[in-house]
Amino acid sequence: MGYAVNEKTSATPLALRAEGLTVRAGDFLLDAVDVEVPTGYVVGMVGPNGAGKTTTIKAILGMVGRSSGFVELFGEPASRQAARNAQIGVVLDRPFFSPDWRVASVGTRVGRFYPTWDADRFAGLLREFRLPARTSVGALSRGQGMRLSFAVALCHDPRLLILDEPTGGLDPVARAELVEGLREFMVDENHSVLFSTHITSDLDGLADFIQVLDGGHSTYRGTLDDLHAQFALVQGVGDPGRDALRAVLGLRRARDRFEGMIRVADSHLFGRDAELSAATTDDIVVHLVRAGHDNEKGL
Amino acid sequence: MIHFLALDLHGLVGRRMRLLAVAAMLIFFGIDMGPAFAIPLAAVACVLIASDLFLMDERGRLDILYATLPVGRTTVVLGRYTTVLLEFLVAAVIGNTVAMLDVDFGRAPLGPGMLVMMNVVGFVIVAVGLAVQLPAFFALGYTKARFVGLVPPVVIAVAGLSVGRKADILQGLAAIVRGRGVSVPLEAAAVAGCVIVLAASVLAARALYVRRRL
Repeated sequence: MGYAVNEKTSATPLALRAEGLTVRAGDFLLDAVDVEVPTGYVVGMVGPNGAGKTTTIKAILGMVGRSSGFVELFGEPASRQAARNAQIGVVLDRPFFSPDWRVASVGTRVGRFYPTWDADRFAGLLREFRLPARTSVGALSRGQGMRLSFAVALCHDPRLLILDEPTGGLDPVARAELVEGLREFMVDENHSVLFSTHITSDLDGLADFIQVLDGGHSTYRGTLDDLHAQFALVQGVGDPGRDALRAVLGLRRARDRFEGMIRVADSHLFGRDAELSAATTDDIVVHLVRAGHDNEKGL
Repeated sequence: MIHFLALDLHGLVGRRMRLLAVAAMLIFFGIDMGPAFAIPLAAVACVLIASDLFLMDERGRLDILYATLPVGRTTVVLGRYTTVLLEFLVAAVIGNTVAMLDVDFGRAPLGPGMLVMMNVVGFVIVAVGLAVQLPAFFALGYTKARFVGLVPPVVIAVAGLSVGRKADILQGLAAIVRGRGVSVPLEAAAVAGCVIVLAASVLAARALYVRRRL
């Protein structure tokens, strides 16, 4: 499903441009995935487990080798890890600090790598996030570990934040705090975020663009607003006709009832018996993925 | 690289109990087997504990951290080799100190030939041990490579015990050393060979680490 992020942001420079990312890992293939993050915007990457979100992010960060594709950061090829990483902050699903390190010492150890590291800000964020400075990292709860990762990612003043499933396993309060922290980060119009998650509600009200991955393929790229405007849920009784059923993504039938998702442009195919309703981001992702699986099965 | 080295050396503080245990082992064996043996034993200890750094990497997912920091993987490899060689220097100082102290306790004095030879033997042990271990750890990480990491210490231990049980070999060796004094060309060649082996190991480790999926 084609989409050009730049339709909305044609004059906006890209913070991140990855094209044709292809990674083979055992049986899994990340197949020529493109990712664009315009400067000043939040891009949410969604999809089920195993869709390729983490592999895409690792390919962007150079953590896995690509068989093809390239990555540009702020208009420059991101071939040198040192130069690339100086401009980005990374938060992954779990903290990547030694469990023996004390929370306060993480800033000392990591900060020395960045000329722009702000130790006062790190200390302030520890207080703001209610993180116990003298506790070892291994003793932190999942939510505290995530807040520590977020604090570390912010303190060298990155222009781009890349987050991979940061909210997985967090309670609603911790998730809300993280999303609020991202909103504060985005107050600066030069900041950008790439945020992968399978909890799509985190993206509502935060993401400007959304990219759906499934089975190593990019199945949708567009603005979140377009996504909601483009699709609707449909359900009805009886046979709406062959053309109408073909237009249903993720069609499910039980007895004489049918349900699924359609493009709003196809709504004229359905009679008055069919009931249309707005689709949430979750609904759209589920049905797009389901439709992809149905196609693979030849349904 | 200095920042990575500082981070790696900082990690050594967390291993102080293990380092103390190794130091105690050195003193014990040094006193038991003879003063000169404290020096190669220090090298053996260094090879034994080299894997700890990779264990810490794995426990803390530090390879992921390194991949997010503004340092390249080449820097990580060079920094790690430097850390381990600095460990060897510290171990060598301890080994030499134990050897000297042991002599002070009434044993025969160590001649310069024996002292230099034992230090060269120590360096050979470290160079060969690390040259085998470190590329494996960089390629596979601690868990997958830990058995490869055990090979050099086991080979060294078996060889050491075999030689150690044949007192006549040791006495003959000591006599040769005493008789010829310091053989600069031989020892220099050994050191140069070790440097070449270590350099080849660094190149192999870098090539393997760059390809590793994190």
